[in-house]
Amino acid sequence: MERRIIINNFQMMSLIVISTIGTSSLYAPATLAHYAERNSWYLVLIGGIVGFFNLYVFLKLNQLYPGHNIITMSKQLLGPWLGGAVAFLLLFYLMDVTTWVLCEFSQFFIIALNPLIPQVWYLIAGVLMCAYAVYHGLEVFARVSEIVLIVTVVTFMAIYVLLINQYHPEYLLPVLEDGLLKPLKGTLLSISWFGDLMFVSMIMKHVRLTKSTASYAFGAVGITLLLMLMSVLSCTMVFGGQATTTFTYPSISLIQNIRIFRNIERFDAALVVVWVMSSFIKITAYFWSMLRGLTDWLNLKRPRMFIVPLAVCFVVCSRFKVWGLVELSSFYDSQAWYFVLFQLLLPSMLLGIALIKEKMKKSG
Amino acid sequence: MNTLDDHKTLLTSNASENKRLLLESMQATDDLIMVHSSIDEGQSVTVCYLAGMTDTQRLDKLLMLYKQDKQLLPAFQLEANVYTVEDAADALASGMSVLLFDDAGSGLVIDTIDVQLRNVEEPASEAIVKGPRSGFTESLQNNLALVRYHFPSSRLKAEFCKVGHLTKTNVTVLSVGGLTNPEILREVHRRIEEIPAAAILESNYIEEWITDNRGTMFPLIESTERPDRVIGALLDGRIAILVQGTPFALILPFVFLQAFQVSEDYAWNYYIGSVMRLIRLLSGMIGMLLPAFYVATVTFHHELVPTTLLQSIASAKEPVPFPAVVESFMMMIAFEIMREAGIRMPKQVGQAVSIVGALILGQAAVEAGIVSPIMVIVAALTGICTFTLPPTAINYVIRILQFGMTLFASLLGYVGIMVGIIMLLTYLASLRSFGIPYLGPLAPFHLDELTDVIVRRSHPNNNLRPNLFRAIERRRFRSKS
Repeated sequence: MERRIIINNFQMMSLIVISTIGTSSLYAPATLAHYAERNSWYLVLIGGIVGFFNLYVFLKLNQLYPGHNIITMSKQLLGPWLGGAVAFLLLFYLMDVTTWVLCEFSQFFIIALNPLIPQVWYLIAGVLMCAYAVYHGLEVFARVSEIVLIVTVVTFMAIYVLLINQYHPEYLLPVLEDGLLKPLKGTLLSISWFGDLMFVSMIMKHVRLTKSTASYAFGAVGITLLLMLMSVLSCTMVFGGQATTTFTYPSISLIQNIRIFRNIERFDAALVVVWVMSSFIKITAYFWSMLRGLTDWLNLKRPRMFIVPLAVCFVVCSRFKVWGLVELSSFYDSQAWYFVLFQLLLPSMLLGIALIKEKMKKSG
Repeated sequence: MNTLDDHKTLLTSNASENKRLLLESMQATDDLIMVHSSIDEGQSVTVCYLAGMTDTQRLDKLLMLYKQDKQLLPAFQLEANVYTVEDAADALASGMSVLLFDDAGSGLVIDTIDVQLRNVEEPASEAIVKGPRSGFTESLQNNLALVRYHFPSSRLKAEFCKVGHLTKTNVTVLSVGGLTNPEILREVHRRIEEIPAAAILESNYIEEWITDNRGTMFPLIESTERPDRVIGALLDGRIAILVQGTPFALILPFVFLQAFQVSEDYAWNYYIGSVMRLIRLLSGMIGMLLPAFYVATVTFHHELVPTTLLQSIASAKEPVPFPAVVESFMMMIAFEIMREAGIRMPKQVGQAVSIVGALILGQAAVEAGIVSPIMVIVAALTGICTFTLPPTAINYVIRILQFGMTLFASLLGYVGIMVGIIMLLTYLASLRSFGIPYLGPLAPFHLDELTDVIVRRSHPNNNLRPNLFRAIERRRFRSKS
C-alpha cells in the first residue's frame, strides 16, 4: 500500500494557473488578434467564462466520485469495456498533450533563443527534468510549482509594469465595433487554452479537501484570466491590433521593447526562466497524469518502471510530430475542436451520464 | 565463573581473583594501576585507575574522606556501584577510578577524571562581529554547562545516552519541555538507539546514521560550534545533540534556507540583519550560478550582452585557445585547490601560497593567454561569494553544484542552467529532515514564516514561532494590549 499523496489547495491552484498561463500567454495574443484584432480581450473573456464551466465539470465529477480520477471514473460509470475504451481515449489524449507541450517547449528556444542547437537536445533536456520530477511524484512537483507560480506571476507583472510608458490605450478603440458575435470565430481556440485542465481531474483526489478548495480552484482560473487579459491588452496597446498578428511570440517582442536607464535592455533571459519553469510544470503535470492513468487503467504494480520508456516515447513523438512552429500553431488554430472535444465535451458527457444515473437511482 | 545474560562476568569476593579478571578484561594494559589498601579494620579495598588520566590528589582526598565517613562519598560525584568486571573496565576506560571491595563482590566508581582539554575559545569556524563569543569545546560536560549558562531555564531538558559499542560515546539530547514536539523527539531517540556503529568519534558519525536520506549530499542536520546558535534553535522548538569529544553540536530538523542564517543576525538591528541575510542569499546564488552564466553567455547568447561589453569580452577572450567551459573549469578547480591549500598549510607559508596564487592564477595566466581576464574576475567573485555563507555543508555543496551548472550551461546555454535549477529545486523539494519539508517555508509556501527566514523580523514583532518545526507553544510572549 503506497503512502497517501496529499497536496494542499494552494499547490493545486499554482498547478492550474501555471499550466494554463505559462505557455499560452506567450503566443496567445498573436493568434487571438488574428480573429478579433483589437478586440481579442473579448475572446479571452469568453474563453475564461467557459473555462470556469470546464473546471466546474471536473470538480462536480470529483464530487460525485470522490477518490476517483477520470480514468477510474469512466470505468466505473460505463462498465469495464466501454469505460475502458473511453479511458484509453483519455489516456491517449493525455499522452498527446504531453508531446504537444514538449514540442512547444523546444520550438520556443529554436525560434526565440538559439536555432543552432538541434531540437532533439532541447527535447531531451525537457523530458529529463520532467521525468525526474515525475519520479519524485506529485507532492514534490506541487511544492516546486508554488515557487514557480510566484516567479512567473512576478515576472509577468514586472513586464507589464515596465512597459507602462509605452501603452497607447487609444489602440483599443473603437470597442467591439462589429457587434458581439462577429469576433466569436476564435472562441474555440480560446476555450481550448482555458480548458487545458485535463490533469485537474487526475490530481483532484489528492487534494486535501477543505471548504475553500472550490474557491481556490476557481480563483486559479480567475488569475489565469486576469494574466491572459493583461498579456493580450498590453500587446494590443503597445503594438496595435494588426501588428500583433505579425509576431510569432508577441510577448517576446514586448520584452524587447523594455528599456531601463536608457541602455539596459534585452530582458529575454527572464522569458527563458518563465518558459522553462512553466513548461516544466505543465509537462510534468500531464506526464504524471498520464502515468497515473496508465497505472489505474492497467492496474500496474510498479509504475515507476514506465517512466523511462514513456519519456523516450515522448521525445520521439515530439520530434516527428510537426516540422516547426508554424505547423504547430496552425494545428492549434484549425484543430482546436480536437482539444475541446477531449477536455470539455467528453468530461461533460461523463458528468451528464453520471447525473442521469444519480437521478435514476433516486427515483427508481 | 558466574556469568550474566549478555556474557558479563560478576565480580567475585576474592581480591586477587578480581584483580586477575579486571586485568584480563583490560587487555593487561600497562597503564592500569591497582593498589591494595585497607580502609577500615578488617576491610580492604583495591583502588584501580588508569595512570595519566586520573587526578590522583583528588583520589587521595576522596579516599581519606571515605575512611572518615562512608556516607560522605555520595556527595563527591559518586557514579554508581558496579557488579561486573566489564562495567568496571568500562568505567576505568572512561577515566573513572574503581574501588573494588574485597569480600563484597561489588565496586564503587568515583569520578576522578583529569584530562587536559582546550579552554572555551571563540569558535574558529564561525567568527562573528557582535554577539556572544564562547564556543563549544571537546568536553561534553563543559558544553552542557555552557548551554545551561546561556539558557538557565528549568524547562531545558538533557537526556544522556551512550552510542557506539566500542567507544561508548556519551551523547546528550537537548530539548525544551512544553515546546519541542514530542513526536520528533521520540523519533530522534529511536534513531539514536538504533545506531549499530562501533565508534562515534565526531558528530557527523551520528548525523550520517540518523539522517532521513543517506544518499544525499545536502546536510539534513545542522552542525554548529556556537552555544547561542544551539539555544536559538532550542527556542524554536528544535532539538540539539551534543556529542562527547567534538565541539560540533547537531541541530535538527534543518531546512535549506537556514543555511543562510547566522546567529549574529539577531544581535544587530533588524534592518542590518535582514540586509546581511539577503546578501548571503544573493551571494549563494552568485556562487552557484555565475560561472555557468558566464559560460552560457559567451558560448551561446552573445546577442543578449550590450555591444560595448561584448566587444571587451571578445577582445579579452581572443588570445585564449580554450573554449569558455574549459577555461572556467580550469579556474574553478585552481581556486578550489588554493582554498584547500589555504586550510591545510602551516600558517608560516600562508603568504607564499597567496602570492603565488595571485600571481600565477591572476596575472601570469592572463598574460600567457591561458585564461581571459574576465574569467579571472568571474572565478574570484564566485570564490568570494561562497565565503559569505556560514560554514555548513551547504557551502561545500554549492561549490560542487557550480561545476554541474557550468556543465549544463555549456551544453544548452541559459536553458541548460534553468533545467539544472529546476532539477535542483525538484530534488530539494523531495528531501525531508525528520519529516519537515526541506524547502520549507518556501515550498510549501508560508509568507508569514518567510519573513523570519529570508529577512528577519524585529524581536517585538517576532511573536510567533515558525510552525515549520511543529513547536507546541506557538507564541513567544504574551503581547500587551
